[in-house]
Amino acid sequence: MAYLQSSPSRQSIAPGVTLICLPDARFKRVVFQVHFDRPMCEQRSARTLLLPVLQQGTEQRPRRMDVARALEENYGSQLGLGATRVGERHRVTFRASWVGDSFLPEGESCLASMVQLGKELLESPLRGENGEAFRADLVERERAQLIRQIESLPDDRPSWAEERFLALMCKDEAYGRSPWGTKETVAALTVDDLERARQDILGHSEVTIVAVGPIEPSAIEQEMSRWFAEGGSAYSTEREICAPASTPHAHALREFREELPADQARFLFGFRYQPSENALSREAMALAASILGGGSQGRLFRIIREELSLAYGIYSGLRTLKGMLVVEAGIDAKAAPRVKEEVLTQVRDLSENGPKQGELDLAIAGLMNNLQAVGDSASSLAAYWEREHDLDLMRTPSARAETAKQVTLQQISEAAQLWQADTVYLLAGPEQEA
Amino acid sequence: MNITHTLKDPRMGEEIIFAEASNGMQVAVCPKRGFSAVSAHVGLRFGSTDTRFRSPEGAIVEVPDGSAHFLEHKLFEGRDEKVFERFGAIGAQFNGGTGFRSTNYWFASSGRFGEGLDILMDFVQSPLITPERVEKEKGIIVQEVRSYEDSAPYRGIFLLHRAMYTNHPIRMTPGGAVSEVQRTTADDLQACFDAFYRPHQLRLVLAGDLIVDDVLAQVEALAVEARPGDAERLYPDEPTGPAAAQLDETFSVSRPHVWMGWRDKDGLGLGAQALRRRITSSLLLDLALDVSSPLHEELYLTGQTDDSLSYHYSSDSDWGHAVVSGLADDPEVFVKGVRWACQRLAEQGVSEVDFQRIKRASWGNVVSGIQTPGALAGTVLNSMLNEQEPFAVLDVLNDLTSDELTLRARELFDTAQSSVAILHS
Repeated sequence: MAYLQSSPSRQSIAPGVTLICLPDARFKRVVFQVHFDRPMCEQRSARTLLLPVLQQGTEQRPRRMDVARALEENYGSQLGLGATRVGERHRVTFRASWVGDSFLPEGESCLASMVQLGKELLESPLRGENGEAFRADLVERERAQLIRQIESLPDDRPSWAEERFLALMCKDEAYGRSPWGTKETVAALTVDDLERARQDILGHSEVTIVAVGPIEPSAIEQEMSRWFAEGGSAYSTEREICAPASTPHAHALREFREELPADQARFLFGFRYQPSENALSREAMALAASILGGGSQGRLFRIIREELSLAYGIYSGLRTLKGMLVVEAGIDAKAAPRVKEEVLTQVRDLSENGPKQGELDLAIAGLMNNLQAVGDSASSLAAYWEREHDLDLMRTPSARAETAKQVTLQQISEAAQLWQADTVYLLAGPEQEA
Repeated sequence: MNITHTLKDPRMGEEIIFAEASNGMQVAVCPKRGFSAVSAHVGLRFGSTDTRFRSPEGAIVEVPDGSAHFLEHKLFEGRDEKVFERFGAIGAQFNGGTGFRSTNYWFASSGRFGEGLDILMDFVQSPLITPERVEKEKGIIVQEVRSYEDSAPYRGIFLLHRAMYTNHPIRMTPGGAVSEVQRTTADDLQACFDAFYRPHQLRLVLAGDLIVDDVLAQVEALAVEARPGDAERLYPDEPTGPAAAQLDETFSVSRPHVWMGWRDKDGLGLGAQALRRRITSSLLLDLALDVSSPLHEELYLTGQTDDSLSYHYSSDSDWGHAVVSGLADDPEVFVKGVRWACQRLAEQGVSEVDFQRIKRASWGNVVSGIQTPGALAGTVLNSMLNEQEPFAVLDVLNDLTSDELTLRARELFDTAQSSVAILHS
């Protein structure tokens, strides 16, 4: 099987608005996403609360039930709004998917109605009866729900541990801020704050639109131009391009332990590095992380799970936009010092001695398989090209594969030398010894 | 290899060729042109609930809870070389899973599928289970089990199972308790393998851009010798009603987690009838509790539920139950509200307009839901293990009526058959 060699079309349809289209008739369902990027600033709480408020209904469909029924009528189309952390950006995403025309009864098509629904949600929200930006009762209900969700976050121990780890490791950086803010910032929001956030999203965000699957690019371009290009409803000349994430050097190694009732401790170990602009160095860094703990082939899995039986799973991964390597595992708290030392030992060994040729071969084989499989689903293609756009690299899987094959043992060693140990975090039950 | 029949479904745009190997293994090949990855899924009907059985040779065998899952781990160790190292060498992705009634193993490879198939058929058919290997694995499995035990959703659903069922082994988690893992022996696992991992019990599904004749020839060449005979599963008698109206458990959660279940009095075996019951039950839950339902709207607007509400229907040959869960500051209000919605649907009946709308949505989701070779292979394997025709769900959807749904609603949402489980701090 060949690697995917073709790139999607990427074009600017307005200042700060990029449209990425990849038509592919093999897929039965369209993946369509509109990303609105803003800095991870104080307004993130307002954006987070705004999204469920917008989903309660629109001027045209005043009940949430009406929106849901429209999706069902549209052959089970799906639609949602969400916000997440991408590097140091706060990314609000309008996400939709629908059945491709060729699988629908003759003459039917979902594109126009789905775009219309998306525009309604973002541009025609339910207003208050007396001209308020939003209905107060609805905002209060969604605010109460968001606060309850924030209070419930510790119930999901792995996610909570990761959030606390990032907050501590990146304490003074935008990356350490939670995308939703705090209970207090959510409680303090006014209806007008939400309206300002809505207008800011539509008018000032850097926008990236990704469409993959059984699509006709010209139809997508036409619909999106009506929305975002000059004269369109969301047209703005004031879009702000987000700055790249900061990539500070590591602190001296810090260790944190926090307690929550738990049977199993969560262990995270963060390293920093300076991302390279060089294509070969980037692939070497990715392969080095894979050799360390990228899966069941990784050293950490083989040693800490298979040889020492200290964890069910232990993995490492790169946060490429931020210049971080993170090792994560669920372990017995008593094993934490041993696991930490083993991670440090393996990082030291990789940087001083490099990997064995067999390890590099396995890492390359895994990467090649992943790159070949990118083209097998619309969602993985969308994720791949979204990431390439975020990195402003737009490398084809084929180009990445060619580069990766050139990586040497020495380059893996040099990549590992860039990892600087920064933060060890353990979330454990109160009675557990570390 | 004997090709038994071919299924072409123009609605799905899929084709499946069914065959039988000389040792009795059932095989399905799903050509998917233009895709890079080829997936192979192999499975059998042996799961966590199968802890007591009569072996094909007639011996009564009892093994610890979690044995099927432990055995899955041991198969991945391989005979001479660890399976993950062998798959890793060809860059393949792989995994396995143990359910209540089945175990499956899969891999996907983009360039070296033939080698991957060799590995899969080797480790599933020819394991090496020794006391030393079993002892070594216990630490890993204990960590896995403990990670689940920290999960409120996991604790909650099994608390509900214990409320709904008196003796049924579905009360136990697939991994088993730590104490059960600790007492598992190599003999236990070998007995399970010998009884259930017989070639004619295996179902193998291959999906991707492959040549049917070639891949069937390879499977035939990898088939081990037939071992006729079937184990008989010995399940305890189960009353037709729930074990308890409500069970509570103390667990570290910020808000109470509430689980509600309505159990069927019995199962319908496998096959088409069971599929029909599963589809009708799932549609009813949508009609009562999906965001598109006025009943859901009422619960949401009055604060009886929030977006944590979720639901599903689960079944196998001898059980079936609907589950609704959510987080609630006042569990009593949540339970009362959800019961009201479900009973209201049963009393009022299913309207033709709502039925047609939800059917249209389900149809769209089914025809477009299976896209990748891996998803197709997994779906077809599941159908084979449940003795159902792949894609029969579309036939059931076409054939259903709103009256049938109403009748099923009155059967399913019977308060006498319901239980509640609550986790709270």
